Amino acid sequence: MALVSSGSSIFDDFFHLASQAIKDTESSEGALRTAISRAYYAVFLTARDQLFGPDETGLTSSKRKKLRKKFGQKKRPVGSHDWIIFAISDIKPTVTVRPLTLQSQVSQLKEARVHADYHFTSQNLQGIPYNTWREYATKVVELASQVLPVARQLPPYP
Amino acid sequence: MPVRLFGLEGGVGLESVEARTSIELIGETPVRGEIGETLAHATYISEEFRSFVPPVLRLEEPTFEDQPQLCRVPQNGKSRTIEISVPELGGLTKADPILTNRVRRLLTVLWAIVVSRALQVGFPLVMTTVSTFEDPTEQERKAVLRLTCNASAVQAIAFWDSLEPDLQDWLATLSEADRATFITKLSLRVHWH
Repeated sequence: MALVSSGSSIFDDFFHLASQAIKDTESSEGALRTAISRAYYAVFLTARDQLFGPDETGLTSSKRKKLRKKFGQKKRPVGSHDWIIFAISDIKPTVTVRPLTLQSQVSQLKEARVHADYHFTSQNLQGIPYNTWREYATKVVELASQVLPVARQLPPYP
Repeated sequence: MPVRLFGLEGGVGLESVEARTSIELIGETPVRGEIGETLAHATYISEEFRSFVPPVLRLEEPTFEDQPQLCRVPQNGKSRTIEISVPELGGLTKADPILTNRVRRLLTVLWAIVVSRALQVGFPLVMTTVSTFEDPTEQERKAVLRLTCNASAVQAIAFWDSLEPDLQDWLATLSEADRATFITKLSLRVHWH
């Protein structure tokens, strides 16, 4: 396997792996947490590449400046994921792409990924209305399955 | 007869509350409870009910509790008025650095938009809660309006998507600072079972 690959096919593969983990009744908590992470990254990276090109090579300093000014983030550093999620909301709505709701959907996937990768206590998982990682991961993959086709239709960020 | 419109029990920072719904026949003997029982069983999906829910409130902070909404409801060939009082959104007063006055105000209107739309389309919301979310890797902290519903994934996401025009219209009325705050400090979550 070559080190350099087509991003889009890999992102589909991420989602496929997440789906497989959900379907497997023997999946461990670790596998289910990983499924959440892969489902998020399938969507996030698809959106990122659609908006700013492969590996966000199109996220130039002028576009960062524009985003920073637009979203009033002059006083704090902005994480690499935040740039992409802010940018989604700035896309012109179309029949298939609803930027504000898409942004919140990607944000919800991101929240799940943070929980899956970092959180192990009930205090940090407060507010999530699911009792098991299987249930939570299933919902996340369901959401990703609906969001991924929309992310593929995002236009380049102006 | 009190009817539970939204089950807000047990949510983060939200008190258990009940909406007040009363029904009066217009120009006839008041009848109470009948619609309420129907709504309780139908979870708002009655075709008749759909068209009466008031339009989405956008431009002002909602005061549902103080100002009940009156809706005309034709049922069995008669015209009725339904009074709907949606409970106050609790939890906004809890102390948290992210819950600034601006964020609380925006959250309240967002909640009103979502609840109004849910009533309009008969979407079965069962819980609304306010919580916070922090991403330790990106120094990100958000106030989150979290909805839980009795719907499938496809139904829940379709409802979520249906909010886009309301949100776009509302954001168009906001100042630049409010809009930036909404995008960067607030988020909507939808959970289904």
